[in-house]
Amino acid sequence: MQNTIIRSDRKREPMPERPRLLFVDDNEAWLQSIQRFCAGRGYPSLAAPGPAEGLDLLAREEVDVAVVDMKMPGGSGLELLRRIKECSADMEVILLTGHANMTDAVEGMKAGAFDYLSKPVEPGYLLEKIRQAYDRKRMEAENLRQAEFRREMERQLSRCERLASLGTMVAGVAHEINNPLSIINESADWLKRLLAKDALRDIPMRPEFDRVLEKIETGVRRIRTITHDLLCSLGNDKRVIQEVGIDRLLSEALSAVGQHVASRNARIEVTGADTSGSIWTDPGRLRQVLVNLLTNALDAIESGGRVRVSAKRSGNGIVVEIFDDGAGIPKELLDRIFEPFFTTKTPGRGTGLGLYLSLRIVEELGGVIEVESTIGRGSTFRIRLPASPAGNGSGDLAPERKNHPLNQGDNR
Amino acid sequence: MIIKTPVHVMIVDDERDFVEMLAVKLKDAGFEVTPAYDGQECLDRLQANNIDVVVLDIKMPGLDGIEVLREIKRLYPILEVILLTGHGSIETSVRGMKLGAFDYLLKPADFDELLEKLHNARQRKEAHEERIRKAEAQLLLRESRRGGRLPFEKD
Repeated sequence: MQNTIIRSDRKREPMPERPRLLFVDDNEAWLQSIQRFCAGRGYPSLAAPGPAEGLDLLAREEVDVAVVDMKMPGGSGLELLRRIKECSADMEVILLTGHANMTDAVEGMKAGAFDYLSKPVEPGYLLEKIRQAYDRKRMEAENLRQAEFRREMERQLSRCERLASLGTMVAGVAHEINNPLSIINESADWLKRLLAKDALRDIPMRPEFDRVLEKIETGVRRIRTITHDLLCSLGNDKRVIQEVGIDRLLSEALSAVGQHVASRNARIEVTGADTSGSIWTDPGRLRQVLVNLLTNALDAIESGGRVRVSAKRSGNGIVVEIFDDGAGIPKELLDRIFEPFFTTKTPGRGTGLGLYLSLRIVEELGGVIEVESTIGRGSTFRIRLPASPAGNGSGDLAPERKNHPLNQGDNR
Repeated sequence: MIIKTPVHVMIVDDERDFVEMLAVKLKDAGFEVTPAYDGQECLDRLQANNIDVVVLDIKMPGLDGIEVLREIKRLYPILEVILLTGHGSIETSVRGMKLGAFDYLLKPADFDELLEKLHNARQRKEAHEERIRKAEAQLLLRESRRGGRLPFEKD
C-alpha cells in the first residue's frame, strides 16, 4: 500500500527570491525617494499614500513585506497593521514612526509587527530590516511546509496500516457472514419452492409472500456479491499473466461500460500517443480495474459530462489515465477512498470495494495508482504499470525473460 | 430396462441449519439424503449407506473437508464428491480437484447449479460403475474361457 500516491491540488507557489514590497506613508516625497532607492537595488515596490489606498492595493496585489507609517491623516498605521494581520497573517509589517512612543511601540509589536523604527530612517538600514523580515517570512513558510509534509507522511503511513488491518478483518468477517447467509439463502429458496407447489397456489395473500421472498433474495444476492468480491480479492485467485495489447485492454474495458456511458449521456474521449504496444499482465484483473475506474468516473460526472481516457508508454511500462470532469473529491475524503466499504454512492449502487480491490490488484501487478483531484474541476486516476509484474521488485523472475506466462499460481 | 433409483446424496457441513434446509430441498427434488455434521460422522456413515455423491464443506472443525476427501477417495474411489466452499479458498478448491473431487461450489450456492452438478456427478459415477462391470464381465468371460480350455490344454 505504500505505493499509493494521493495528491490533492494544494500546490504551493515557491516564494520569489526578492520580497514584494509595499510602502504606506502620507509623505509623498519620502515615498518617492525610498521607492527609487529600493528599485536601484533591485527591489521594485508599491506605494500608497494612506491606509485605505494601502488596503486597496493589498486586495489586488501579492505583498510580502509592508512598511507602514504610524500616523497618517487617513488613519493610524496600527489599525492598518491589524487589518493586514487579519487577512494575511504571514505578511510581515514594519512600522515607522515620527515620534517614537513606548505605548505605540508595545501595541505595534503585540499586533504582530516585525519591527518598529523611528524616522528619519536611513534607507539602507530600512532595506536591511526588510530583508530580515522577508527571511523570517520565508523560514516560517518553510517550517509550515515541512510540518505539512510530516503530517502527510504520517497520514499516509497510518492509512497503510489501517488498510492492511482492515483487509485482514474484512476477510474474516466476509467468511463468517457467508455461512449464515447460506442458511438464509437455502431457507428462502425452500419457501419459494413450497409456494410453487399446487397445494399452496391459492393461499391468502399469495402476492405478498412472493414480493417479500423476492426482497430477501435480492438482499442475499447483494451480500453475496460483497463477500465473494472480498474473498476473491484476497490473492487466492489463480492468476494468468500473459502478453496483452494496450489497445485491446482499453477497448474491452470501454465496451464493458458502454451502457453506463449511454445512460449518463457521457462524452468519452480516448487519447493516447502510443497504445499500440503490449505489456505482460493479468488481463482479466487489469480489465476489472479499468472498468472500476471508468464506472467511478461515469458516476462522478453530471449527465452529459466528460470522461477522458489516455494511455501512453512510460519507460518499459504504461501509464493509463482516467479523467472525469465531475465535482472532484474533497481533500478529507481523498485519504479514505481506498478503504474497503468507503463509498459516497447510494446503497445498492456501490459496495465501496471498487477502489479497494483495484488498488490491491494494481499493486499485485507491480504498479501504483495515483489520484489528483480538484474541487469543481474533476479527478484523475492514474495507473502506472511496469512492462511485466516481475519487472518491479518481486525479483524471482528475470524481467527480460520473454516467453513465460509467469504463472504466479504455481509460484506461491 | 433400468429403473432409475434416486440419487443418494450425503451432505456434510457443521452448519446444522444449512444441512437441514438443503436436505429438505433435495428430498423435495427427488433425492435421497443422508446428513452428516462433521468429517468423522461422514466417514462413519458412508460405510453403512449406499451413497452416490457427497456434498462436502471444506471448512469444518475437526477433520476438514480436504482430509475427508482424501479419505473418501482412498476408501471409495468411485464415490463422487462436490466441494462446498464458503471461503475464497480457491487454492484449496484446486487442491481438492487434484485430489479427485468432481466439482466445487461457492457458498451460498445456487440450487439449480447444485442440482445440475449432482446429476452430472451421478452420471459419471454410473459410467464408472458401468466400465467396472464390463471389465469384470470380460474378466469373468476370459476366466471361464480359460477354465473351459483347461481340460483341453491338459490333453
